[in-house]
Amino acid sequence: MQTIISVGILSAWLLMALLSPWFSDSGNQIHLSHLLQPPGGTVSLGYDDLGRPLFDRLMGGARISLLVAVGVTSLSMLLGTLLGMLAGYFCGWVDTLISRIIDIFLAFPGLLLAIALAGVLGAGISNLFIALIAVGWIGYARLTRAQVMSLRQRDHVQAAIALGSPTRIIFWRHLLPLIKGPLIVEATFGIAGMVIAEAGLSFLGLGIQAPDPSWGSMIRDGSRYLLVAPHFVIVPGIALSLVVFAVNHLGDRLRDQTEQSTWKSRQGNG
Amino acid sequence: MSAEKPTVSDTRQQPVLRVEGLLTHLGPQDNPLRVVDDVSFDIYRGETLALLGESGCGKSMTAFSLMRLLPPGGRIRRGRVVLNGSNLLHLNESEMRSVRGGRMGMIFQEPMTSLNPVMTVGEQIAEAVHLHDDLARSEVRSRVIELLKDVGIPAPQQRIDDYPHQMSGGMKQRVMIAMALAGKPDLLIADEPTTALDVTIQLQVLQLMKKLQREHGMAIMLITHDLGVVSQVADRLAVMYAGHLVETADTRDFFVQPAHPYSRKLLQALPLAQRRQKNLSIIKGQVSSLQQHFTRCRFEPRCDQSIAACARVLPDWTELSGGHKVRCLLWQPEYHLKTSQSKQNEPQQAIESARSDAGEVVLIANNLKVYFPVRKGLFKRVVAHVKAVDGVSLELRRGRTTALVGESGSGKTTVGKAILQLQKATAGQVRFGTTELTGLPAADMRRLRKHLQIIFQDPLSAMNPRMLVQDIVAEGLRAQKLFKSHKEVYEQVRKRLQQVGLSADSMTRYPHEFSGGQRQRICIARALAVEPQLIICDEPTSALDVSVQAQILNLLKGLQRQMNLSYLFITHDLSVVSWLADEVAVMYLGRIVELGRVEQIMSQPRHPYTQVLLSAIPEIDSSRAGAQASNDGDRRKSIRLEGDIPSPIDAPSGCHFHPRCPKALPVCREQYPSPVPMGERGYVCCVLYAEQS
Repeated sequence: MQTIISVGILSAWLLMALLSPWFSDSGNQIHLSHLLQPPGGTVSLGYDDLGRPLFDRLMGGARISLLVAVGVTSLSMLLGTLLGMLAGYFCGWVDTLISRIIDIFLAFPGLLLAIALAGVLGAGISNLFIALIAVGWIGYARLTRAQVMSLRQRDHVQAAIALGSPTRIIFWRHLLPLIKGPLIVEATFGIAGMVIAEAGLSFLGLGIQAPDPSWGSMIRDGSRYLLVAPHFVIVPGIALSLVVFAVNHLGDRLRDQTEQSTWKSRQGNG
Repeated sequence: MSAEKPTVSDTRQQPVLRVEGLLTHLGPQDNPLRVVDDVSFDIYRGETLALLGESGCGKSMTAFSLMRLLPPGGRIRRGRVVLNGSNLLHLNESEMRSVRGGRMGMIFQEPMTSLNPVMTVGEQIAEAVHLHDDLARSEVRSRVIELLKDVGIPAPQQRIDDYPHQMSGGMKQRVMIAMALAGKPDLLIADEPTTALDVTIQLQVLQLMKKLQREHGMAIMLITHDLGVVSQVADRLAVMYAGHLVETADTRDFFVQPAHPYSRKLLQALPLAQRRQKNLSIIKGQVSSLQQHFTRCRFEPRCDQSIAACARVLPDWTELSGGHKVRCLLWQPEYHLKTSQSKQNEPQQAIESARSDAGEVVLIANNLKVYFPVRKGLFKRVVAHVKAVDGVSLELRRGRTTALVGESGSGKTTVGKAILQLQKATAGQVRFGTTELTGLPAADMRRLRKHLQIIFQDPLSAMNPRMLVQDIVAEGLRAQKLFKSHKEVYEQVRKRLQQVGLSADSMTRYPHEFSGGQRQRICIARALAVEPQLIICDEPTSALDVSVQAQILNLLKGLQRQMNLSYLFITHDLSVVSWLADEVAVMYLGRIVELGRVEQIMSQPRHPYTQVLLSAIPEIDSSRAGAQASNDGDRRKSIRLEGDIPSPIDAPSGCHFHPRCPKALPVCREQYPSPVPMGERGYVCCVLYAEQS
């Protein structure tokens, strides 16, 4: 049941993001007569402090959060996996170098570092990407490095080396297929993290800039009117929590599934 | 169901354990596996009964049924398990708990995982003592020390506070035995107690079990797949096949005249020196599925002596002589079988023997050294080296097999990897033909790998689980760019699979769909595909059952003849060596202590360590050994070796073997003996022979 709800929420998120271009103009239209109007009988979710319709802005925010979450996660995964594989496979100075870089990045709390980077680079969506990837790749690199280190000792990797297979073939056929399960699970949780991170940075004014809508900046704007117009915060807040809940829940399911299938295949072989 | 009659000497006694008609199911209710099917046997006081069988035949399930410790999904459907008069199947769970570890003790195969790593061994034994004895605190400790002394652990007062990781495998197995003894059991169930141990340690543990049996008078049920262990310690044995007992006999009778065709096949599958000229006997097909309710002999589909009736009738016990019983129709009077006829069934195809003496040298390893640094402290300074390989020289010849023999930790696998440049050598040379392999640029080495291949011990981990068999076998062809089109590659793959005895339809399957022996065949096909000159076989049969091992060994020997391959055969199993190898190198702590022709090493071992190794192998003692037996006589006296292999970090000074050597002289402590030539190309590193020459 929970899974169906989660899938439903995610589909809604996706649909909102896809349909958002048709709402981008209306989302920026100011209706002074509707200033801070709470949700009414019609489909409307109310209006913000400039009299813009919250529903249309929520659609725009969905697009941004989806774009940032999926984009940043895949790019971080790509970078992290590549560096992790190099470190885990070649060991030696390559490993030392990459591990030290990982250690340095780990010394800072993730979001704090992203805030600092975004602050230095300046606001804007491309800088938001850079800041979040700089923090995001570390988890994948560590995971990949550890997995590859143990896999590389396995006999089939040794056999591939003994057959003279080029290193890229070993990476592509012997290592990646065996680590992709845990990586995908990690990435699912990463998406939830990135949705929050984007909202957080936008909340601080370091992410998406006005007048483009973002759930984080909507919450920031709404917080000033918390007592007079609580719907202004509640609407994007609920959207944000639902998406994060759904992604995390599906991540859990996915993890159980992959663990079960590895357990099963081990049983079968045992 | 016929409960067994006591043998003559035991008539006065009641059996310690009587099992009658035991039936155990595993898995779904509607379609269960009958893992133990109508098993009955008795064990008497002071007696050792061996339950013999290959993996998956239900030996361990029988033991778990007796202990009522079946895995989830397992249930006992029928039968009686009577321990000293009380039926264990009628006890409730709390009564059963007091039987386990009390009247009935159990030791397992893996002492490493059976002990809790965060408790001292003393605490763990004390726990067992506490459960079954009402002793005061101080008494418990002295009882634990007494138990440790019983199982032969030196300095028990100190070792009692050790943690499991501070002990060697043999020590841990002794601790497990001490725990089992704590409840003063009437019956000790030992499930493959020495399978994970080296031969010299195996001998120590088996002799300890016999000694304890004499002192405490307990009965032992020994579960094993190893015919050698059976011949060494068992009084009686029961052969198990597909969940069913097929033969019970006194050990001596069994080895002189095994009655069931399966038992005979097992004995014939053993690689022995006197079978060198022949292929080993194999059992065709696979064990039938245990999901069916058998109404015929379950060995019939694989039996080469079956008659029409075998497929219709479930054979009942036939008694041949006192206590020797068999479940086979061929022995029932109405089916009249001459036993003499059935004995002649070893395969006849002879392998041409006397090969011209010296082959051309394919590869030379010269003074090969592999050291691993041990780093300690804040700055990771190198404080010592693990000298895994410490100056090994070998010559491998075309069409010949050189065996590299040694116990675990002797560095034999590292030698193999260093030769293939899978492990960087610290010093020394490896010359293949005219090319020096150490320090060769990676691209050149990659091309040369076509000629040098390796087969691993565990075929499953040697294959990528996500790749199809055809791609696994094709890997080398693609890496070496030996073929242009896909079609050509797969054609070659099909040919190689056929060569190792696998059909073409296995190409589009995954490794986990195959049995252990078939998996090893796939790995062999992969190595063969690039048509190498040298294959390093790293314990390729030690994970396999005897009958499967025979198939793989036959295959390897056949391929060697066909393709004129050289093998470096790394193993701890000397009986395999005597069947397969031409030359033998014996390794101890990173060095070769003796090298020579196989006949010479096997019949006249010179180095004390080689002598100990040979004497520690439990060899099947039967009239079948024939002519060989007489001149083997002197070395069959088993030399018991004290202690464990030292760590290669601080190898003993002088000759590495001197602290354990039964013939050590004072001079052995001072310097490592230089090699003394023995025969052509052979040598031995021991001062005993330096003095003679």
